[in-house]
Amino acid sequence: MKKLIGLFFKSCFLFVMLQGAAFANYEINEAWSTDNRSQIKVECSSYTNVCKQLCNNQKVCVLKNSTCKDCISTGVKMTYLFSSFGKDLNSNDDEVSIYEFVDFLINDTFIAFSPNNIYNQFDSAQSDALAERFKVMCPNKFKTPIAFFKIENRVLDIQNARYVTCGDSVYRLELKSSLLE
Amino acid sequence: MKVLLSLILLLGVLPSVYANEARLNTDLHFTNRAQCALDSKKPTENILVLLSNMDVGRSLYRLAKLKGERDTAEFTKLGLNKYRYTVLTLLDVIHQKIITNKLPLLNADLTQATNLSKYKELSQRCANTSKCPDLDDYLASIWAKSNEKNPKFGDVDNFTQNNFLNLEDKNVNKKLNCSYMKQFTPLEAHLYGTKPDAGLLEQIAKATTEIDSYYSECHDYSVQESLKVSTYEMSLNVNNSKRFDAVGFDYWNTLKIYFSWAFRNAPEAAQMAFPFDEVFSSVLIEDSLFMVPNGCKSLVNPKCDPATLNQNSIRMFAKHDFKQEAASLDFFRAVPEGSANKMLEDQFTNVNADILNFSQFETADAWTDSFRQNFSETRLTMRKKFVNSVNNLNLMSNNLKTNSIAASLNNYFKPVISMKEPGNIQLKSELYYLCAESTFLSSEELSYIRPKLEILGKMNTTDLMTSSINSKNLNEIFDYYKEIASSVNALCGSFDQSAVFDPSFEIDRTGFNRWYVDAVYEGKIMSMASLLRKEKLQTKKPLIAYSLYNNSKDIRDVICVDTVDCARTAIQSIVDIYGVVQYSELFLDIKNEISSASMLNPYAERTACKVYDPWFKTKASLFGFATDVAQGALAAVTPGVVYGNFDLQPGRVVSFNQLVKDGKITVDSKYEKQKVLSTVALDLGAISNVPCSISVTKSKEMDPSKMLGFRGVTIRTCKANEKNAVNVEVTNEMGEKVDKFKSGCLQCSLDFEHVTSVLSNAIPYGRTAFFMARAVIRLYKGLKDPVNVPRSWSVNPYLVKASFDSNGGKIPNDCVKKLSSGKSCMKNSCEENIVNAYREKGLYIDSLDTEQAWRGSAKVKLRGCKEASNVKVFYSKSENDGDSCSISAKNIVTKCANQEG
Repeated sequence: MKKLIGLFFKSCFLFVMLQGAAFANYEINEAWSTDNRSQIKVECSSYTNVCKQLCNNQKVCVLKNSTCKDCISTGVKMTYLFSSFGKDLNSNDDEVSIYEFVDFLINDTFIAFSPNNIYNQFDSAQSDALAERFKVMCPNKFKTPIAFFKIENRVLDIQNARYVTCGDSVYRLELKSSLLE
Repeated sequence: MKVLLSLILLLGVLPSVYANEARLNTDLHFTNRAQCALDSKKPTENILVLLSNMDVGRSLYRLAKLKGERDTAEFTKLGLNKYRYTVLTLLDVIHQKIITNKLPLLNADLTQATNLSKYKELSQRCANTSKCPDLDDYLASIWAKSNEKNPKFGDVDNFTQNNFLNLEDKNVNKKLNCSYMKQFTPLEAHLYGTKPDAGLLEQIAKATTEIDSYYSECHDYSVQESLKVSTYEMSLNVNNSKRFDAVGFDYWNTLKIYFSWAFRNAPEAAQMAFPFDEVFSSVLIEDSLFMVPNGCKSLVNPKCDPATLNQNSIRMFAKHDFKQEAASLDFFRAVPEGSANKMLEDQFTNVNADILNFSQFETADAWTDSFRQNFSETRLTMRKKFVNSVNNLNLMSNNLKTNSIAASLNNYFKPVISMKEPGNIQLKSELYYLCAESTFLSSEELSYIRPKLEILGKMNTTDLMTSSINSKNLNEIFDYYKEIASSVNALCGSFDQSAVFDPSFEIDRTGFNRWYVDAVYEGKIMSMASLLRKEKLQTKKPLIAYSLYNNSKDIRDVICVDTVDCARTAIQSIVDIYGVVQYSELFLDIKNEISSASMLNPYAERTACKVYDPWFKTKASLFGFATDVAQGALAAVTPGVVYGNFDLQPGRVVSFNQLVKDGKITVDSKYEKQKVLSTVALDLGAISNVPCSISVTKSKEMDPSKMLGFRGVTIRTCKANEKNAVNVEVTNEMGEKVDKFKSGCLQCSLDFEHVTSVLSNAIPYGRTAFFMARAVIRLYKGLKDPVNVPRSWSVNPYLVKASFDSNGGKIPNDCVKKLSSGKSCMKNSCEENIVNAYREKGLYIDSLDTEQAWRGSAKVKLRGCKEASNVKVFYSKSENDGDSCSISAKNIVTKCANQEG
């Protein structure tokens, strides 16, 4: 009996540990340094492979986030971009392996948009209208998704949408209008 | 030795030179309309620079919040001051490079021959885009060389000596003068009036004493109160340089192109902007920076093309009553007629009469802010309209095939078309709206807009833009729309309209879409169409909508509700796209260039288009223009409505109105005669009173068995002895030294043609395109307008002030002529001589007292000094000229009394 109870508690513990490992492994956030360089901050709650590869085994590190030409504007492209999150820019329901995402972060130049990004000229600074649209992009309804685009020479091409991070799940981000059936 | 000493003394002891000194001594150039028109062809040396901080300000504020800055307002302000600093300093750096011949000029007009073959090739390749890495590389390599000691520009392109500014006067002051403008004042009087009079000169004199409260240092941000905008004046000291007259447009072109490139890419700009360089290099600076020639001269050589006309119409946004007048502006019409129309309607418009309403605003920044707000809000509305309309059609074309539309519509309207439900008013009305809207836009016989829309099927300037928003290009979108239109028109032509829309059926016009109501009823009816759409959604699931709609229930997430709505939305979208594309150079960011419209000179485009010719020796040129552009200026009337009696005499010269009076005009009994005739009269405008000859197409004799349909009015030029010509005598009003005058001949005809049957249609009588005909008539009226012989006047503010003081605080009337030719008008020649002697040495006098001149001494107080000094003068008495005095250079006191220099 004691053995059974012990086993029960052990498996509970393991279960919880595993769950713990599945949640809050790492956090990705938009950040700007003191001298206003655009960055992506990665914070790991435990030493995982992610942190090994991205952060050289550190728990916190910073990756260069590109900026983009003519993005601080109300030009046609930006007008479209900001209305398209959650409508024409959506996640594919299949989760992407974290390793593929890490590979992208290390090897490609990217630009990442959080709901609080500095480029939004269309909503008032107090409104969370954009955040609401961003939420739609995450199948798990994560509150602060970050949309990643591949970028070259600081020229944003909306068709280069790649990934959206929803907590520590990553999904593929596609330029594909999500319409009612 | 003495000279050297005095030079050293001069340099060492000059009273502090105020920043505004140069401005006091710069002539104000007044012009009348004719001279202003001529000046439009010359490059300006003086510009206003309007800088908006809104876009970058919003981003800085968001950045402050993201970073968790304690004082977000302070952080934003810091960033904005850095932004102003970067813009102003960079302009200065580029100017210095050009004026010291370190940076070659890039031709503004590439339609002319140029030795810069590589630049020409790159510019053509990059004509419709701002994404051009090759051009960026070209500019980058030239810029890098400009920092070298002995640069070899030949490595980059075929630059020669002639490609550099190379001003004749090597000692010219190379500074780019820059002032921050607090107010528009009498010192900008050349923008408010033409010929100066005593009253204006007095205002100028008074303004000079307060000059420091009107202008301040460009980099003194503590004075620049508005965080939203700032207004600067910049000028070059080219001093009537012939070289500048020849290459000035190239100078400005080079400055603008390098600024656009350098602001984003030059290491110097990054240094100036640090630590905000990453932010600033992301700004679409051309949306926020405007250069305006300060007067009649131009920044860009005016051409008669749609780009110039559209860009110059930006001046409408500066009017203080913009918001009240907005509804009547062409930009906001459902189907804009284009800026050429406005120019033709108002050929002899005002100029130099505060046309931009500077005087309605307390400060220069208030004016700039009003302009900025009016313009950016409109621009954003247009951009959103473009994005939404393109997106709608794109999504429809991907999800709704046209063959299914025809079938679906047939099915939907079967109950009323088959007469099974003759009382179903709602369905009948929907069918009516659909057919009316579609026919108005696309009927081959009846639509005047249809040929205009065809342009959407032929343009490629928006291709990169549509692809950047993941859409098909406009040609493909237009093709899809045309398929929808054919399906709808086929449906509308498939049943007997007079049976379905029987006399008892009255249409509720509020159900038409907004564009239709604007185009047909001139906005006199409110459109409730959007409410009807919302009502449908209460019971129906939308046909095409974003999945977001399930939760949001927001109509903005719906593309279209059902097939009918899809068809009507497609039509609405194509109209909206057309409207924006008409003014694409103004609203769409296809090619990012700094706006340099001739805001203060509406004659820039009028002269370029020969609508106004200040030197006209004969007004035939105006006729030529009207005819060329109008191709006969056909003013068409919807057929099948208006008819002439069979006993009309072809060839008889009579006005339309007279024909009505004589009872020779009838109207299809389906319509209310009075209403139709008054509409026709409105449309024909003044032509309805102009005698035209009656012509009946394709027949010399009348056939009493046939009806005569009235097609409209044709106007063209003719030969003097042509039959039925309306001869317009034109005379040369220049008056001087012209031997002959030419006469012009204008022929207009009221066109009728035999028709075999009455064309019936259920479409209400709509407006048709008359503007060209109208333009010719106004032209005809304009012949009576008095000719302006080009005149200009020069006023030196400092000399006006000196004269004002000298004459006891006023400007006598007989001083006006002298002061208007850049001279002074002191109370006597003694004071005249003293003022001029000091001025030659670059010294400015605050007050002058020559009471004791007969004793050989005068009191002179220099600007900046607290007290006057005594100076030696040489007094002379002459019987002819009266008393006078003079002063020798060595006696000029250059330092303040009781003060170190």
